[in-house]
Amino acid sequence: MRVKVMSRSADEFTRERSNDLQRVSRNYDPNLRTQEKAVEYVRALNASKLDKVFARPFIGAMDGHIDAISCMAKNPSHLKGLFSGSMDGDIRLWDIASRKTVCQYPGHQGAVRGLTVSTDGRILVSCGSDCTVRLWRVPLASGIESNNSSDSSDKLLASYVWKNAFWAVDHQWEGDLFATAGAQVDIWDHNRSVPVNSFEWGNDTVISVRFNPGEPNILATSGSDRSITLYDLRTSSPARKLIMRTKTNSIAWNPMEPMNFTAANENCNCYSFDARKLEEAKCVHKDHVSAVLDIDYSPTGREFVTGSYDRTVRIFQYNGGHSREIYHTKRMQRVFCVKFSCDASYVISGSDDTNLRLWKAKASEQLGVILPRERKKHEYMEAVKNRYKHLPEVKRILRHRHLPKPIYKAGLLRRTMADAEKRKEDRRRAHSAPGSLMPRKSVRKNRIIQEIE
Amino acid sequence: MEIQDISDDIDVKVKKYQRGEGADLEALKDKKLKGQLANREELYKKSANAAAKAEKWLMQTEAGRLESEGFEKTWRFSQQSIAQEVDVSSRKNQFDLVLPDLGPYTIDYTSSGRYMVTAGRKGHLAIMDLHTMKPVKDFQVRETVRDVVFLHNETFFAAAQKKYTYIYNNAGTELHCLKEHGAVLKLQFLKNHFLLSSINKFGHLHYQDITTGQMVGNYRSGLGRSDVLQVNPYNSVVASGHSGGTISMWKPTSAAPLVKMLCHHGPVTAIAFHPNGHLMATAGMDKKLKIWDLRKYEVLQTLPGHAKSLDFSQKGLLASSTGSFVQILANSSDSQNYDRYMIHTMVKGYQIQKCLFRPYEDVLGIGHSMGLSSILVPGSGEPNFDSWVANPFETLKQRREKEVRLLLDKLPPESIIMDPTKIGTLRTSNKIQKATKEEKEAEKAAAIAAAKSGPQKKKTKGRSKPSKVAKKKQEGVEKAKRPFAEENKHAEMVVSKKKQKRITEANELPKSLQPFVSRKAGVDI
Repeated sequence: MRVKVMSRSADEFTRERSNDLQRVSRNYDPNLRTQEKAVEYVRALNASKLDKVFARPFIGAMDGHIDAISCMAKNPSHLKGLFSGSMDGDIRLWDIASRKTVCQYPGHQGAVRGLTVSTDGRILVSCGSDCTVRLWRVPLASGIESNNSSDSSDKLLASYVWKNAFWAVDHQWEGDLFATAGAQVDIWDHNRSVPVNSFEWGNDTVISVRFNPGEPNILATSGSDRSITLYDLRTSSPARKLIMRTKTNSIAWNPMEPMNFTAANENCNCYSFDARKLEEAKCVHKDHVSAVLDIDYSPTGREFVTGSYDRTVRIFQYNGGHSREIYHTKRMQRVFCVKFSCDASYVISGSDDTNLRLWKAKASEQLGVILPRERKKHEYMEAVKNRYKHLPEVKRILRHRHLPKPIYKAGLLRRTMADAEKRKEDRRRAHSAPGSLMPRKSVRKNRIIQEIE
Repeated sequence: MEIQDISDDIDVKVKKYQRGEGADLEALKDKKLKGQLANREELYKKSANAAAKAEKWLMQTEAGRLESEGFEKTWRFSQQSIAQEVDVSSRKNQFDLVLPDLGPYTIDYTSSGRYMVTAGRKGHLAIMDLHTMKPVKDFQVRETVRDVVFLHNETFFAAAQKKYTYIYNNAGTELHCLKEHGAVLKLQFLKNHFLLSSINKFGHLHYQDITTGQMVGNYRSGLGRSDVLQVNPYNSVVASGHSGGTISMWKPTSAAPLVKMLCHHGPVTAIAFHPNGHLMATAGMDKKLKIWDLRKYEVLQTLPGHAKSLDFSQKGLLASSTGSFVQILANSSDSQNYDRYMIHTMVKGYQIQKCLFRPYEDVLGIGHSMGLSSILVPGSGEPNFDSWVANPFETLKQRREKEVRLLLDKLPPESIIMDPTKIGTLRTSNKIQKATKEEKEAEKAAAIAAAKSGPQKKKTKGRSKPSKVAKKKQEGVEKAKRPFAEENKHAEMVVSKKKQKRITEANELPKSLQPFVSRKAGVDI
């Protein structure tokens, strides 16, 4: 007979010295664990409740401007610095970590309408409604902590006056050119005092301009004739134009998928387009109840943040129809500009009440240094929440957000109006002869009037 | 050949880790969802493969086995001959404690298999640490003790005494007296839910949450006194066996049992559940031992013999004890049939009260009228434990951490269902049946009545003349009738189309056959 009995020796399973780690043996066999799914569900429920407990997104406000903040700019080579320009011509460089002004760039006579930083992060370009474009020197990162104090005159590198007031400015992601938007789109070089090139299509003002992150010669602009126009700098004429039903206030290109861009529209929605196929929107992002004023993508390309006239900041998934997160405060008034920080952890909003506010991109994220065990635990909680987020109890907890009453009511009103329209459309179709009415238009095409080459 | 063997081996292992079949993605129309689910399925496959590969390195301890050479049967080998062949530390696990005075003993093990609590009928309670073979605490309660069970770890145990149930500490301190349970015959502890379930002399089933002390369920079984209670570890459903031969399965949130099955021609004497949740072994006074498939509720195998106590081991061996005789059955190489693997006879006068396999060890504990015994059963225990599920080498800190984690993961009593894999799956919708003719008529009548009795708008400035009001009312009634008329028209159109089709087909037939064409509806040519 052959017999063997399982035997374990204690020293294989206990530690030798008290400063050793305890030994852990693992067996992944599912038969050892009963009712795994129920345990996971309970953990998902607890994780979503804890998520809500730790959701404190507001970090602080940066106070200093004395008029509404009209524009902001990120510095591509310095993570902590952020430029902001206000309606009275005051431009400031902020240190986000300490939330204090590092230095000021006074000089503009009217409102500062656009701010942008050059590719190497050394030159700040600003344009305003006083028809000037000014170039400023950005202090080095090491010297950014030292106080601004004097030599403000040193900082102004150049100031170019042109024919009309400017509405926006953007710099190429790689190169030396920047574009301003005003009565037409002007392309400037750093050293020339007159624009190198100028584009015009129609007689209306151009409201915003953005260069493509992947292809440095392509830019998108939006005009007050409800259009979005794509230009290529290498050809001397504009490439495509798309006319919509309502005006687009701002455009942002997806840094990870540079052929896609999202337009923040006046009719409370954001439309994502593929620049190669403008006849249909890729996705319609609906959740705001008032005009969306500014939009910025996260460097991961997976999310974008929008600021709107309805005093809220919302964060959307790049392919999601509804917002993942909404931030609002009683003191925050109309949000004119938003930026996603370059490490994808923070969102900065500049609003009408002269404050810049710093928020966390993920509301319940733990900031600072996280131990590897903590990180693993957070990852596990995320994964288990994602697995059970469709179940009603977990979904209810994850979805719950407090909305200010006017926004909640406005949202309900919009929904009833949309439902009424839909019902009316359905009835019209039911009562008319089949084939006499045009076929239904999809939401993604609905808002587009025409596309012009 | 070798490579194929290895790949077959890996396939079997991967299947174990896959936890069922993948989702059927062909039926989905939503492309986005399809893509997301396809990604997930890919991830699951990868993780199953990784777990199967890691098994080689993680499984340090080898399982036990007993094989016979030649024509000898494995059940011919006695415990002494086995003891001569194994090493010293395993021989330690084979012992006999003679405690003749204090009545038949019943035993329970903690989930790690390290501690054992025993209760003698005449009031002897003892906890033993089986690694050091020393008693942790040993005391007398001077009252009949019918059953004893460990709670979530070795620091608490519950004893069903003469009138009430008591919860004790591992230091022997009485912590709680549970009066509501009454005179309990059998206790069982549901580990994931922290519920203590009991069945008492009158056949009443109680569920008590021992973390909050709340009585979660209190049900009359309606089938009289029953002294058989067993919990199914796969889905935490509690089964009780009754004197009519029926077994009823209960969950804490309903007064009616989930399942009632007629198992034996006489009273049920013992029940045991296989850890995978599919097999159940029952024994009755009709000298039969039946093995059931719990998915189809069918008998898989019937074996002759009595059994006072039944238990399945972690590896699927079945121990049955009657009188002073224990037999252990094993299903040889996936044949689904249990046959005798080992037997053990004790001294003639000993009456075995309970036999219980020790988790994570190749040991069967026997409690009998003259004390306790423990015999070696090679191949019964799971050789590789998972420290985060049950750790026989736990330190104090680890035990405390584990208690907190268990409490955080405590499942609510509502989560007990017959099929625990259903959590998180789609709820199947009931098919909408077409309304019958009477129902349609009733709906129509109701709609007309609603239209007739609806609020009449009274217009001012002479616009609500009686003739106009009557006309408006008539219009409302027509409107209410319209959808039904449309439906009828649609149905008639379908029928007329079918009729036309039939007539044309009939005309195509040669003339001689035309009189034989059936004109009845519903008959196809």
